[in-house]
Amino acid sequence: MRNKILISLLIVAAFAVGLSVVLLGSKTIQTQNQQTVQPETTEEPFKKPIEGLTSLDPIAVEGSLSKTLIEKIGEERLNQNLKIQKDIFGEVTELTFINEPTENPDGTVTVEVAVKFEKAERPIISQVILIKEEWVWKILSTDLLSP
Amino acid sequence: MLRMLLVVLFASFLALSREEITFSDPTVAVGTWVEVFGLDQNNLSDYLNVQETPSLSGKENHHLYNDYVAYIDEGPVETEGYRWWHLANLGWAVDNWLRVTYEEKIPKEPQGRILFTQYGENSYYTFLNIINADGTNKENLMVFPNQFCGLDPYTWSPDGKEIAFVDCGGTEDNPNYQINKLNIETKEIVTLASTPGPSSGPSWSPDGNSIAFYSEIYLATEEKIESIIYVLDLKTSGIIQVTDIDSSDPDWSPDSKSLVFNSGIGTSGDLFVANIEERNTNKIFSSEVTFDPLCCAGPIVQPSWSPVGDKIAFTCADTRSTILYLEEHKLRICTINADGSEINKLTSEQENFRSLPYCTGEYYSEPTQCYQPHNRFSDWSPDGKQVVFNGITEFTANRRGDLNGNFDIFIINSDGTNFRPLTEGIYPKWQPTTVMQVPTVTPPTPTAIPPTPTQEIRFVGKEPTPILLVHGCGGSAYDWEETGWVSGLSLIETYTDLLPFTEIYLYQAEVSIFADSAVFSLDYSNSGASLEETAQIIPRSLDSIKSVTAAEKVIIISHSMGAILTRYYLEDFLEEKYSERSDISVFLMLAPPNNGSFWVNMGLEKVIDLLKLQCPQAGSLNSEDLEPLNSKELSTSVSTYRIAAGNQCWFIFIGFNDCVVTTKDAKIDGIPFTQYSAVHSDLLPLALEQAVFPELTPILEHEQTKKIVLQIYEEVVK
Repeated sequence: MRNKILISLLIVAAFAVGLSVVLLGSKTIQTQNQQTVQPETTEEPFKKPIEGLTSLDPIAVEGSLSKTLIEKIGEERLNQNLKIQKDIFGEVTELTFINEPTENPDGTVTVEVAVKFEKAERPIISQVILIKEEWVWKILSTDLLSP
Repeated sequence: MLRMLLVVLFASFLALSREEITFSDPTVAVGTWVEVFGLDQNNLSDYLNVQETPSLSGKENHHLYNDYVAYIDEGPVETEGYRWWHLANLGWAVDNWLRVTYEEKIPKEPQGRILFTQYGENSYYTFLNIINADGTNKENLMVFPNQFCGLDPYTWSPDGKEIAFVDCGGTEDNPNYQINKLNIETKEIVTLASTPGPSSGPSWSPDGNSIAFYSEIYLATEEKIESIIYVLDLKTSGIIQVTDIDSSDPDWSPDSKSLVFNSGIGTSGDLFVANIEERNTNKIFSSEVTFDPLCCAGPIVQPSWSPVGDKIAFTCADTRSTILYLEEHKLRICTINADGSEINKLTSEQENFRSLPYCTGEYYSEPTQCYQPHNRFSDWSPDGKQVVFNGITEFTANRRGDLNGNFDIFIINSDGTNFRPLTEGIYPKWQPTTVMQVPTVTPPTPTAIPPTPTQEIRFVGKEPTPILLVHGCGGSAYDWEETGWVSGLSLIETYTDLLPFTEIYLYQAEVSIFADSAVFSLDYSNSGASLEETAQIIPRSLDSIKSVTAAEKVIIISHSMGAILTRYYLEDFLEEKYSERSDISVFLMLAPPNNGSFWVNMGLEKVIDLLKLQCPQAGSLNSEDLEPLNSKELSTSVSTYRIAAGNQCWFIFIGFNDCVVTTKDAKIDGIPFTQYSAVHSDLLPLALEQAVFPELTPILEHEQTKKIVLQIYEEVVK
């Protein structure tokens, strides 16, 4: 009986591995066609760096940003900007992922989020592009989409 | 060499008959302008000698060359076989090389000399300086160890050889208030009289017999200090009291019979004329009656009676206030006829806005305290055709003096035209003369005629391609000068009928980075009207430019909100409809908030309030209000559109932007777009400046901006 169970588990595991391979292959094809990446497998790693921005804590924010972006902003100015942003915008009170992440041909991933700042009357929709740096997803850019 | 020339001249004369000597133009006479002629202009040794006395053996004063224009104020004197004329401020010259000049050659540049004060940096030294009214020959007359006592502290003697000034001598416990006179040649100082209290505003009567002034007197019964006007009789040294109400800043009429002065009672301004002989006083003007916020609606100070007698210039505040709080309001120079009629605004407080002040200190306590920009201390040219005045920003002052701030001196024609800076300094006083003066000749300059000021349009290139610069929200026409696009802005038109209680100005640049074009700069900084209403200035200024240049199309270069105003016109959103709207050939937008500013779009009230302080229209720069504009197709009458924007700021979830406008909000589909590391302007909210300071580069200052614009300009012109 125990062997049967083990065999069944092995079959399930093999099926799962096979399914994963199929899914990964499917993902590649889907990416080329600019289709949606399966959220259940990819959403979590993207959420973390984006949520890291909301703290406005310099260490957390810096840990969320890609080296390219930090270099572009300037490390010193980033810290100054964050302090001022906290004064002017206030805390991020709401962060909502409003669509599913899409992978771009260059390997980066785009996701749109709605952000409500404490001192702003209206929420904004921001397009966030992430890039994988040393196996970790980091923010490559953020751009205001609306209003 | 000179001796040789004189010998030649003498020999030439000997060769002429007496009848021939009288060949010179018979119309040369005292009161005429003459020019030097008949000399070899290629030979610098061939000049006309100007002697101190009408004699060949006298001291030489100057050498004059062909075309030099001078004014004859004395003569003729016939000695040594010559007829000599005295050239004003130069000396005596024989008339063989003089002829009456043409009207066009008579110098229009302001003549004479102007006395003024400069304070030493980080010291209490006071430098009494003098400068030619054309801006040349600035020299120091004297250095005083302390600041002058009071405002407007000195006055010229009518012969222009001495000045009288007030002095707060003595010690704090034992003050010695007095009026002194200084001989500007010998530098000798003589005390004329003691005054009843700390004094200011002396005015020497044109007949030379009296000096009027005001003293601050403590009235024990009323426990207050009042300013009282007195007249010092220079023959008897007696002092008579002229007024018994709070009054100050007396100035004499040209006939020396009356004084004009202002009263500090109440919240309006009143001008009075006191007839000294008849001992009566009449109010001739009240800002309460003519209440005009654009020109004069509050306290009045420093009236100045034109030497011609027809007009009185004075400083007036834009709102009702007591005189003690004068410095907190905009002050302009206005003129009225001597009977009190026909008030006109002569200067705009915008014209001297040297820097943007921040109001940070307590009243009278901080040297960097912000007051409204001021125009004050006006004084007339001897011919009554021009006015010299002070432009003051960022200063503290009290009625006893102790001034700190930016002080610049300007000259403007009495009709409001030809505004021009003269020098840094304060308390300008035009030296009285009975004749027009000419500047000193510095040999061997071949033609020493002062440069003729002009407001005519100058075209350097073959094709007139006029350019209109439209500043942004919270800016002014001078943004372009401060960032090196243009210099020498001259006011060429003032629009008073476009917006209620608002003047719009159009300036022309003397010099610009665009070699082939006449360049104009619009100034709507006074406008508090809506975007649509303010946008009326675009077609009106285009009409003016087309009219004066005879061009059919104009290039527009806009900064920030200037683009929105231009688009309101181009895309037919004005109340007044313009069927053509085809007079813009090229439209270059720098940092345009085409879809608004993200501060406004997000509804960040704190920042919006800060922006509104600098620009009343800031609240309208949002995507919702601009949606109708953005829903229309771009006008196809414009051959070239281009947008450039900055991206020196970065905010989380917003990304790179210019601290005011995001990339997305600056862009318009179909228009070439360029972006580089710059910020929107130097008028960012203070907190943001601190965030990115000191590396921020406003887009108008960025070299890349000029490079892009010049590249497009070259393409268009060619």
